[in-house]
Amino acid sequence: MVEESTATVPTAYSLQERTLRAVPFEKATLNYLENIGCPEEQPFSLQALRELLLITREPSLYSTWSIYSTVLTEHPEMIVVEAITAGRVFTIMHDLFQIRKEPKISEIELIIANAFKDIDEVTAIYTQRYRQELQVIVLLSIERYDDNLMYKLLNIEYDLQKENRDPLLAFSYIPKVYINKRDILHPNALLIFER
Amino acid sequence: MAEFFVHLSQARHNESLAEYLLDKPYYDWAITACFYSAIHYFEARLFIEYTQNDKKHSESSIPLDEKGEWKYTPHRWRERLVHNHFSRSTWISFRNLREASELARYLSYYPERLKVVFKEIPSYEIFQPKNAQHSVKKDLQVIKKELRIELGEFLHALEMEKSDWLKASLVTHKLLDNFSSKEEILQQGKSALRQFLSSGEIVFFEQHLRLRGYEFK
Repeated sequence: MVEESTATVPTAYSLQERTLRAVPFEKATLNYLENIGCPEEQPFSLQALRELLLITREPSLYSTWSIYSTVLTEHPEMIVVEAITAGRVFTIMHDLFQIRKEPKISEIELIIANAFKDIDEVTAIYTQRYRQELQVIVLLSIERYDDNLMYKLLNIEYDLQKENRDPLLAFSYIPKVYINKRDILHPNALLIFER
Repeated sequence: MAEFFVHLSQARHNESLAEYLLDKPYYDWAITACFYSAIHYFEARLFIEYTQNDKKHSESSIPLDEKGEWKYTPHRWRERLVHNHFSRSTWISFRNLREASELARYLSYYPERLKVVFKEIPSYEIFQPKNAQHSVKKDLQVIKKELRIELGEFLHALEMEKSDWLKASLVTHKLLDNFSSKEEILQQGKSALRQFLSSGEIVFFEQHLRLRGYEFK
């Protein structure tokens, strides 16, 4: 919960003044992102920030940030509270960006892509980091479960698991039964192979 | 060691359900029952093989990270244990059961709670009778064979742990690792046991065999 401000609410601010007070906060956010190394090839948006904050373990932080972005236009004196909130937001963003700053395909991801590339039914492979895991999402062209295909895939996974103990590899094999492949992936998921 | 029989009974119960469903139009549930049978067979094997309480169940041996949280989910840790201690074919069968049963159980897919999406068709339409047959007749049998469940049950029935639980666990561990059945042990006799057990352990084991009316051939 955010501390309640005891400041009186000035009523004389014009809409233009309110907007001027609100904008610097969003600008500050963007400046901060730039400072901590936002990937150039993936320009950061406030929408992406909202999604990132939503998946942190502090959902209330997103709510706070979101509410104050709006409330600021009505209660510009709350900038002090907002600054405190922003500090917490920036800490979270900093942690998140420790992951986001590594958008390039790593060696293990190349090994994984190479291992599966000759299986015709593999249409794409995405990876995403979650805690200490490297999640590997293998999208398949099949619409019915195929044990023989699964044996082929799991044989490959067995060797990958044996040779790569860190990070923990967490594989999922997804048949073509979901509405849209983009829907099943987090925005941060990295495409490492596509047929 | 009541939990051994609890796991074993649950495993057999689930396996019976899977077999019962084989000729019914519920292939997806046959597969799921198989997966839960495999889990309990594995847990039964863990329980009988380890002396340390924290290793008797896969859930109690999950390593913690620096924050004191589980490094792995229980399913992933169990799979890693299977990977570390058993053959490629057993691990593949175990993984195949999990993949199939999760596909069968959930209409939605949510990679670690980050997103949720839904299937375009019901789960049961993804499976055919041959998939259920494969789960029951192939995957589960591969797992059971390597876990040596029958031998574990035989050794458990000797009640060796009542006289010396540490020695009993050691003997059980070595026998499960090196013999596939009760018959193999009894037929090969002491000469084969000497490769793996000390003379004291052989005497201990033989005493308990005799108490139950068994003799080496």
